[in-house]
Amino acid sequence: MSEKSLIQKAAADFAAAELAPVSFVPEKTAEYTEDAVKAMAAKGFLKVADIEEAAIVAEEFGKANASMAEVAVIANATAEIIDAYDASKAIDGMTGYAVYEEGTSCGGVTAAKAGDAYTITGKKIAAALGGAADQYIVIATLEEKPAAFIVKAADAAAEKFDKLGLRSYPTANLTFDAAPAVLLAEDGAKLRAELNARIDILNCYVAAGMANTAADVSTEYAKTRVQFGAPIAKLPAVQFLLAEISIAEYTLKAVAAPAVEAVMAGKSYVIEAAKAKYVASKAIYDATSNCVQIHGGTGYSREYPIERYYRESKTLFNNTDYFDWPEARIAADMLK
Amino acid sequence: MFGFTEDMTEKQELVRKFCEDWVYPNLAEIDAGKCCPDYIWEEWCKIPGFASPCAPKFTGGEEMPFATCCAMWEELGKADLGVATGFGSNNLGSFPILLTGTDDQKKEHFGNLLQGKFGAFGLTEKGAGSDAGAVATEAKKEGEYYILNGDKCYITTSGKAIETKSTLAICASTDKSLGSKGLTMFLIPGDTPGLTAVKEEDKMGIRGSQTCELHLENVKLHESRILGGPEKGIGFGFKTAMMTLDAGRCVVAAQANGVAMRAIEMMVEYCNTHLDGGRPLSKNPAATFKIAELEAQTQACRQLVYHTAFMRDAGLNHGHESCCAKIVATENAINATRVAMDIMGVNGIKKGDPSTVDGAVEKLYRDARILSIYEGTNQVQRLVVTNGLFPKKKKK
Ligand SMILES: Cc1cc2nc3c(=O)[nH]c(=O)nc-3n(C[C@H](O)[C@H](O)[C@H](O)COP(=O)(O)OP(=O)(O)OC[C@H]3O[C@@H](n4cnc5c(N)ncnc54)[C@H](O)[C@@H]3O)c2cc1C
Repeated sequence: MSEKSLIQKAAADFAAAELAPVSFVPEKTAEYTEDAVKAMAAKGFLKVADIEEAAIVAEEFGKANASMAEVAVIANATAEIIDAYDASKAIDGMTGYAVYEEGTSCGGVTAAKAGDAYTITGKKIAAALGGAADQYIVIATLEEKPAAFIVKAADAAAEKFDKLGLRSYPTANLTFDAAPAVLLAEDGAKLRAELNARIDILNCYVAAGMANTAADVSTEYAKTRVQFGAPIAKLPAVQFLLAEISIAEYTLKAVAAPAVEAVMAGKSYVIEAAKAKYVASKAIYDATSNCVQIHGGTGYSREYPIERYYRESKTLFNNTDYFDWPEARIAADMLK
Repeated sequence: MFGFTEDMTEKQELVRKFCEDWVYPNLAEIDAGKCCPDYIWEEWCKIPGFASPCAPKFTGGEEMPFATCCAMWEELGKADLGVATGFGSNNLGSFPILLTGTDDQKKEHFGNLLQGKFGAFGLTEKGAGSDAGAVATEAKKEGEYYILNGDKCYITTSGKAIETKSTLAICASTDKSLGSKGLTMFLIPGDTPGLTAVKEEDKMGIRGSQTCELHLENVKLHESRILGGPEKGIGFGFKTAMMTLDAGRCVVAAQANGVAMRAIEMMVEYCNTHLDGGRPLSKNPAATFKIAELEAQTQACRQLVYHTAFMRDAGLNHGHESCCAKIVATENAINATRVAMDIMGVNGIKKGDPSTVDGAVEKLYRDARILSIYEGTNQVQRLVVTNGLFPKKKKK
């Protein structure tokens, strides 16, 4: 077995044994499954070697439990970006990410310099791994420019941010009141773009995992649900819906692969990630929407996980940058 | 809206006022439950004619034109699709009676509804969803009586109709050998022994509308309970159900337009108040053009709904137009909530107060997804439109 296959198998086995059982009820009730996260950490899934491995983990976890997959995505992406910018800043545990603010995309949270040290003041909303991380990467304005800092979780007041989907994946509003901070990057805009890009790339794989599950459950349902005297799988209209889900899974991996390659080769990857995100957010939406449609009334019931996929698909790519980021980035790059 | 009658404008304004007073402020409570709270329904019923807008004059109702109902349900759908669906069940559950009921049946049914009771339309079963002709609930004739046995699922407000001892329109097979031509519609009093609501569905959205499974065990009905009476009604159930859906689908389309309008309203408010690079998002065409496109689609959908409604009021066949309206309006509404999510980012996914821009879109997204499923999935609508475009050649 190749190294990749070994990682894939380990992630798939772990997901089936530890993550699938806690995917349904906790998501419904917005419960953070801390034990599952601890098990992920213990097995090394929250700090893997590189983005290729992180993608494998994201996809396998995405098949079983998208909330937990997203925890792994954020933990791995933040760990990698810290390594890339200043490995000496890395500490044990999980790192979350705080960028959004109330009423604006970013900019109102400020950093102040006092000697060699920094403090941060203001409020971030919907911080990734909010309330669960050991530390956060925080984008804050330093001398009118965005910079990136690391703030210990104990120095931020966290208030749970509940959301449409991925409800077991923790997010929180964070309030900083002159919180001690360590500077990670003076060019916060660049770090932000790169971190978002890494998250978006990995989210494509979470989405591919979700699409894989949507394809499996939809195929099974179509083969067994009988209407008009035959399985609905016999109907071209249903076959089209099924095919689109499979195409989505294929597309999701196809668009993300060049971005992964770029990261691995040490090349710039932000534009590749933007293109991937643009296609991916539509693809996974369509896949999960088709899954609901194939299931008819059953797809709308909270007794089954189908409706969850639909909620999760739109939560997944709404986690990172503002809405026109992919198009704006790509066009700016073309016009430079 | 151009072409609205005075009645349409007046009733729509009344609904708007009602929603401002009772629906918007209570959206969080509505979304947390599985059925619209009684006090909201009670307030609705205080407005003359609203408990049953289509009730004929001779039953004490206002017999509102269908176009007026569409204008009302657009406004109700804008405030809450669940409430609109639940309250609309009094129309859906009444169309079969309007279409084929005897005068006595109409008096009984609308008498109930005008007192503030709920109606329900019971067609769907586990094995008979899109294939409505496969209804397996059996009605066995015993002398002058029929004994009904079977189960129904996803029946809107049926639990309430039973609880309030109202009347439900239920489809059953009086002759299995005839398939869909052996289906018959019954008007069943809610307190008939053997008729029970066994389960209340827990749904992703439209939580202001109750959806129940029904169990019928030896439900004994006199043959006079057949809609239209035993002479005319036997074997007419499927036709009645399809004609009921001709109207129902147009109302669904009207509600969908309300959902799209609310999504647009929320996006506009968000763009006016949210800063993007120091400027309001409303100055960014990347956002505003997306909203403009939805506005254009929504205006077109509204035209189609009112065109269809006016056709129905003029006594013209409108099944084809109803299906077309349902396809475009529901898919536009679902898309509008998706775009709203895109534009609002984390503010869209937030579970906040659904009566404000702070939580409205998260709920709208969950609510809207039902639109392409109920009252015939959108594939079934396409099937009906296809059959209209490619009619079967009649055998000579
Ligand atoms: C919230 C809610 C409220 C409802 N209220 C009522 C009510 O008040 N009264 C009532 O009687 N029913 C009601 N329904 C039932 C509703 O009308 C059905 O769910 C709907 O008709 C679809 O049936 P199904 O769920 O069994 O899906 P299925 O029929 O099993 O469909 C599964 C999939 O197969 C596709 N399909 C099936 N047949 C065809 C075909 N011939 N061609 C192409 N595609 C096809 C469908 O489009 C769908 O994608 C309600 C349902 C819900 C969820």
